[in-house]
Amino acid sequence: MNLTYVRKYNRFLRKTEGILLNNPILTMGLALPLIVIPSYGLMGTTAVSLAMLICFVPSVVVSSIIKDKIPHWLQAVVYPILSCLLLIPAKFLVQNISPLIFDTLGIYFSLICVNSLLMFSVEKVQQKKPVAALVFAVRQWLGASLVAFLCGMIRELMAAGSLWGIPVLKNTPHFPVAQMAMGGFILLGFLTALFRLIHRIILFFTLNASAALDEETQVTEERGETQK
Amino acid sequence: MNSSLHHAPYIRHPESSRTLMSDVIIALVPLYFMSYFYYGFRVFAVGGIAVLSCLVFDWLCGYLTYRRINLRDFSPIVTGIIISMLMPPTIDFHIVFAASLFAILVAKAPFGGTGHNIFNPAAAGVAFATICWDSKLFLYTPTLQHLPMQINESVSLLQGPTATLKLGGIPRLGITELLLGNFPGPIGSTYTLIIFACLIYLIARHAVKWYLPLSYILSVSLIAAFHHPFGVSPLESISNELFAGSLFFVSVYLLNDPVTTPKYHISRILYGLCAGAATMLFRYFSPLELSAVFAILLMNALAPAFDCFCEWLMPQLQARHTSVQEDTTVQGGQKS
Amino acid sequence: MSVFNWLVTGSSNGILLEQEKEPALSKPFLPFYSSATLQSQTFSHGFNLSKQLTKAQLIEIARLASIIDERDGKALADKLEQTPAQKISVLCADAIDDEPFVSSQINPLLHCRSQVVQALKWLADAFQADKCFIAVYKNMSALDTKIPTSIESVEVRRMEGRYPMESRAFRNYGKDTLIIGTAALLHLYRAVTEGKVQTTSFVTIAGNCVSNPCNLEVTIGTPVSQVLERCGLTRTPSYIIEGSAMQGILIQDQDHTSVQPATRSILAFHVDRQEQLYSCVGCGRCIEACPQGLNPRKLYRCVTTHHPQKAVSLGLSNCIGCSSCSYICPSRLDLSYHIMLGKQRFVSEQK
Repeated sequence: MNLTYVRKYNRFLRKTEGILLNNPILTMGLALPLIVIPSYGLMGTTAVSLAMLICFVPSVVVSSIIKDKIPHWLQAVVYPILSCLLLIPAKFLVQNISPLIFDTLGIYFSLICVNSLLMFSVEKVQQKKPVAALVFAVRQWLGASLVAFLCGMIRELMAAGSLWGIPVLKNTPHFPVAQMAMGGFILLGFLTALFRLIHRIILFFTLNASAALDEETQVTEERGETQK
Repeated sequence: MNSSLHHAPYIRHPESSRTLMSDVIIALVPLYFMSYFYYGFRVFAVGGIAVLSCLVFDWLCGYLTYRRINLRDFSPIVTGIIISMLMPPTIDFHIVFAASLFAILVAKAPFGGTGHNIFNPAAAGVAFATICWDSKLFLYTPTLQHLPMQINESVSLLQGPTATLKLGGIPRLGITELLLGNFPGPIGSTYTLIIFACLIYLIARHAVKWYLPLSYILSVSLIAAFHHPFGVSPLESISNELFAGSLFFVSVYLLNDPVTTPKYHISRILYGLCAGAATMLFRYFSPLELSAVFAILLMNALAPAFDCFCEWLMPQLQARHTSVQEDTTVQGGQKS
Repeated sequence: MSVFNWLVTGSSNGILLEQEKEPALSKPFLPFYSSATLQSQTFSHGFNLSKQLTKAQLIEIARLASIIDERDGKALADKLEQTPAQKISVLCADAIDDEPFVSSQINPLLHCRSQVVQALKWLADAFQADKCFIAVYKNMSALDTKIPTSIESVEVRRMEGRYPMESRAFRNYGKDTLIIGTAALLHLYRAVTEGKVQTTSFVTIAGNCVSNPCNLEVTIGTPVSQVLERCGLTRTPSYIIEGSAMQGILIQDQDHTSVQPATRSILAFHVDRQEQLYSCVGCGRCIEACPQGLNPRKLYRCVTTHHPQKAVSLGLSNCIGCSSCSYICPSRLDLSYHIMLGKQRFVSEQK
């Protein structure tokens, strides 16, 4: 069986590890409430993504440097504390986005520093070199924040018809439920289903294309045999 | 003769899922006629939109999930009718449409369609509409008038007795008004007498177990009797809580949805009691008037837990019962 | 049943079935012999009938006549021999036909009363039984007019209960109970008085496409198609069943299937259209119907999704295969069939 296109597609997927393949939110369901609840709009998503970048990526890199120099039971305490410390510079960066950003985010801004994604990544990079750990962490962050941005955009459009506070759609019905946590979870569920559907459609087409290729080669081989 | 199709019982009970659902539909349709008497032809339009959109989306979801479309499955019709019954008569059509869409597309189809849904689709749809458009969903209109299809300024909108109750006031409706539903309220859920007649029909047809609505109403009325505003007798408080809103309707049609209720006798009774308590808590502490639907949704999520709890509880109770019996027989033997 | 039991069991002990025995029950059974019966040799046992027959004599007669009890398909002689040596306390003639359409036990009782009772009395004397009675199902129309309360001073006890009744009726009686089917008693009487070998069995022919439902005394080995021809068919049946409508076996080839000693009924049904299957709506009726207090819905799910341990922990081995759950299911699921399949597979795996 000829699987040329399927292999090509899989190779492409492997290059996007963390973003399209094994996306931390859509595939593994890590850090769900932290991504879902604050991503009510583009502004909140930007703030959360920035804070994640500053807290999450350095912590993972540091963990790959330290490795097992500190005992295992202490690791679960040290990295969250490190991440919490990094929240202070993040706060100064984030407050440039909007003066009201901390009022709207509330507790979720502080909660962003410790989540299941951090714990997962810290365990995952124990055997990696610091550069590889950096690449891994950035990929995970990118995958999470891309989904969060998509979510935030759709939710802001649906609830207020605007993007970054600027009205875009004016005469469409508004669904205030989209900005609630319930709407976020339902939207995320449908996004997951949608991405699975896209993946399966691509697989279906690549398989068909491979089969077509297979038939062509068979036909040419038969012709060659008859010519002989 | 295909032997693989025929297995041991060659005779079957004449009742099927279809008759189960058509019984509920038969018990729901009389409410439309009463509503037509009060509000005119618009209620049929609301009901038609809800039922049609539910049916169409159910078929669509069946098509998308490669499931064979079963034209004899009446449950989307029941969902549509219940959604329309809980809406006010002056509701915009797009809200009914959105509620039906949410009910089928979010609360039913992703879980696997009929029989697999965790949450009651109708309750979920109404809850969705309540959260999104709570200002429009609780504005009712006086009875005994013919509403135009397009709601304009000539239709007077006012709050129902549930709003008065919510604010801690006393609606002061006569018992006749309460029983006939002759006050501003939703399309089909205030006609206590008709709902009661339908309840008796459903119990006689085994579509409803009598102890489930009874335990629900018991717990609601107990809480209402103890927690009543000053200057109201407990009985009046109970009748106001039960009949002024859609609570009685919910206890008959939404609570008894076979898919989302527990399966054992004792767990059903516990379920009814807890649902009643949750309804009253929602009514006292939530900002919305429609509390029963949210309580039902919460309890739906807990229904499998009730069953598990009772599977653990029932053998223990049986063991205790038999030990007590043995004790009494031993004592009786000693005496003789 | 007390309120407490109702609360803690969750089941109502079976289901109520429409019995529909009527045209077959009131007509006396008709002979339908082939040459095997007519030409069969009689034997002479040579015992003096004016004296009381002993246990050993009865066993010998039963062996000579090769009588087979239609209740369980065992030979009557073996059954009598295997009873404990000391005297039995209760002797019971089983005429419980709790399944719809079937009346092949109660019909011989009603139309050959004295013979059945005489055989029962012989047995009671031989085994020195304290009590002997005839068990009859209570949920029958016109019970009082048709069935007397006692036949020749032998009590006819009405057994009460919902459908899967025959398997549960004698649960409360101890091991010193002997239960014998009515047809076997009738054959025993004939063997003792006339020296006849058992070559026939009593079969009910019924169903919604049988034109003349009746009980027949059919020679063993007659093909099913001949038996159905004898009663006449109004339509071509969709399926023909050997045994009861609830637990019977589908007959594939009616020309090459013959009547066995344990055959109680042959039913022919015509179904216009197979009712479509729905998905389970979780109404909980199967739980209320189960006589064993199981949860057929969960068992079905465990078996179809291959969770043997969970199924066994839910009490899979307690299932008696009475098909009550399948009968009552409004979604027309084949609950009982799948649970019994799972029982055969999982329980044998565990052993």
